[in-house]
Amino acid sequence: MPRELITLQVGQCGNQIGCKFWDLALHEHAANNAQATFQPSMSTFFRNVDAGGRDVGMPTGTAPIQFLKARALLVDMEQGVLDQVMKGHIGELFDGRQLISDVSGAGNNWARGFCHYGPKYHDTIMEKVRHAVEQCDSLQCFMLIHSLGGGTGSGVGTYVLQHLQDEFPNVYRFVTPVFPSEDDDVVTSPYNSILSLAQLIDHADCVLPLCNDALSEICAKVSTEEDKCRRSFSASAAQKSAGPQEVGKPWERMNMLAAQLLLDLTCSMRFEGPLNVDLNEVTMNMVPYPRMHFLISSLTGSIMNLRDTPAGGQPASHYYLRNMSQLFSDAFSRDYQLITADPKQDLYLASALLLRGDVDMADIRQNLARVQRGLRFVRWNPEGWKVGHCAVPPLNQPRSLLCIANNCCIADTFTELRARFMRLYKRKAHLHHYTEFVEQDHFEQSLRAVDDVIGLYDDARTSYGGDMAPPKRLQVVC
Amino acid sequence: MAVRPVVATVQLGQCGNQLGLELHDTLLREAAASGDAAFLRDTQETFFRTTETTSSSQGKLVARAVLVDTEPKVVEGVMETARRSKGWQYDARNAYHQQGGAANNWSFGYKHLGPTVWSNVADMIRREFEAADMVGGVLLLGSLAGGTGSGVGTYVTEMLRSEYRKSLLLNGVVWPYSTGEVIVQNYNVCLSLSHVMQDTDGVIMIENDHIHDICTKLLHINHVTFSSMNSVISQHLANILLPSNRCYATSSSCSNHVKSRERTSRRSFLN
Repeated sequence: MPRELITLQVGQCGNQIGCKFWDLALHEHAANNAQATFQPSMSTFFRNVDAGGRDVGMPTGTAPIQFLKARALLVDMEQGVLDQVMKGHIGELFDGRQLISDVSGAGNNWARGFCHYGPKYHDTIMEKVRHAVEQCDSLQCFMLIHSLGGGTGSGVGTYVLQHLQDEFPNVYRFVTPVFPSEDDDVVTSPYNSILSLAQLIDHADCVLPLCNDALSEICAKVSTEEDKCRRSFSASAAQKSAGPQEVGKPWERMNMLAAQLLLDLTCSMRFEGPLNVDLNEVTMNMVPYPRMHFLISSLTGSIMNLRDTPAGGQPASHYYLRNMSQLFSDAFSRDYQLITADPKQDLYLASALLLRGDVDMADIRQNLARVQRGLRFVRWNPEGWKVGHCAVPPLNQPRSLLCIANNCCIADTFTELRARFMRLYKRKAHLHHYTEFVEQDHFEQSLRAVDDVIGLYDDARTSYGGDMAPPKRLQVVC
Repeated sequence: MAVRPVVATVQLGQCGNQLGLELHDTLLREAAASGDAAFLRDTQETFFRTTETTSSSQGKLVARAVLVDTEPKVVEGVMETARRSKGWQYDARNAYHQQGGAANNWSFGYKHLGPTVWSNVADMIRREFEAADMVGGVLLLGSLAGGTGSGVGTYVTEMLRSEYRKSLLLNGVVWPYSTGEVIVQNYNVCLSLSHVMQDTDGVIMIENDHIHDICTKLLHINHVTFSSMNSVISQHLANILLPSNRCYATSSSCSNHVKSRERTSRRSFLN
């Protein structure tokens, strides 16, 4: 039976991404499960329960699905989003014991989330976490999904993260934070981001940041390309009407990208493949030094799922399929990174390629050798690649590539966040809302933590870049 | 009929298990293709055993193999594949897997997982040898880049050496691609080999780069997969492991081969 993963979706953004994630996960598993039995692969995210909510035996692949419950906790300090989730088509995946909510909201204030709501709901949250952990046979990872710009996701989210580390130190903590864009409508988002980032530096094992600007650009690009392709085919009226449905709201498409990232990251945990990659291997290979655990990701192939998958499972556009060379080129292009960054121009400390679907080993090695020539790797590990291949393709696509990189360009993202923080902090603007809950020194400590990590990446650029003569490999003489 | 020394295979990690599946199939196929009934019988005796025919079922050919992994999917998949598609199968009692994985971490595999694995696997190997009239040795298969094949494999090698001092111990190790397959592969390879060299009688070196070139340049395979590479590796291993002469009364060709190399060097790296 595969290892289990518990998802914690905190705040409005976290819950909206989380809901898209569960929707996509259900579709993905349904597409690979013609008999509608509870497959072992499903036990990573779901439990099979009876009408009384009790687990129905071990997942052997032959037991029919009775009721599916997600291994998740939904936390929000306002009720609006959670109410929508429970009324929506995936509401059945959750029961009341998995929800923690309040009415007032955190007011876009990290300190209110971290110092007021966190402790207020500490016992409730940790008891529900313990309950979810007890329902697992071999829990591997907590996945925290939240945004850094608001109050609940940032404050309560990082509070919970800290306590997960204290109570379950052997369970990995993966975090998918959404960084605020420069024109974010929350004025205090720079404060919330830096204060959260300091917590992620200390308490997360692996962070895969997302940025709204980058997600929005990818969605726009994919939309434009698909329109071009559709127009270039002389589509009959029948074909037009049989085509897949477009997702209306841009936020939904962006949330779908984030959800796809999580599915592609965990596919090897769930499905078989010639070269499996677990989440513990991601942390082992991608994090050379403990505090440098911020990974930049890019998605190619499965981003074609940016149209809402209708319940009928209608296939997406087949006329916009990327071949392997295109996937590899796109993966290292700035246009497909999920944060606003250009890793190709900076130094790679490590890189992982997680492929899904119809992929040849020869193609992988050939393309890897090709892209490697254009990238700068640390001189002490020029072959710093981790490769994984899962046989099961993403939904409606023949293949996809998720590239995760530990690249020094993340320091620029932090520096830019820091600059926005300082613009407010120099004027002590809005500070009094925070000092109601924390000492001002907390701001200084957080800034130092972030500066420390920026310094580590800057040092890496200067010390570990440059060429080194490759050492001779052991020659095996026949 | 002369008694043949048997070889038990320990398949470690994803690579070791996938390769072991292909190897056993290749050994049988090669022996069957020779058209020599005695050769086939001896190959079957060396690497397989036949379960007893009962009133309800025919005797089946069961590989003298132990399957070990630190996560469940591969072992279960390999056993199922053998059972469904091949004319032989694995013994369900000889499969051991954990849940958490070795995280590509040699030290985690060696220090933390190794003792637990050995406490389960020792009995499986002992049972295989007790079912045989003469013990030839153990062949361990695994990759050097990951955590299970390298770390757990190193521990199991040490334990096998201390348990079976006089038996032949061969390690079939797969080297990762030089362009990168696991980021910490260099650590795992060096740590494994430095330990294994103390205890093994021979290390059969299999390089992914080399095998990949064979597939593309010699065999002109357009779509190289791990399955095609495992076929080539299995062929290579079968050349060493299959009885190479018709004097079946003497010891296996494999131990002769290793002993002859040992006259020239203290430890033998075979390629």
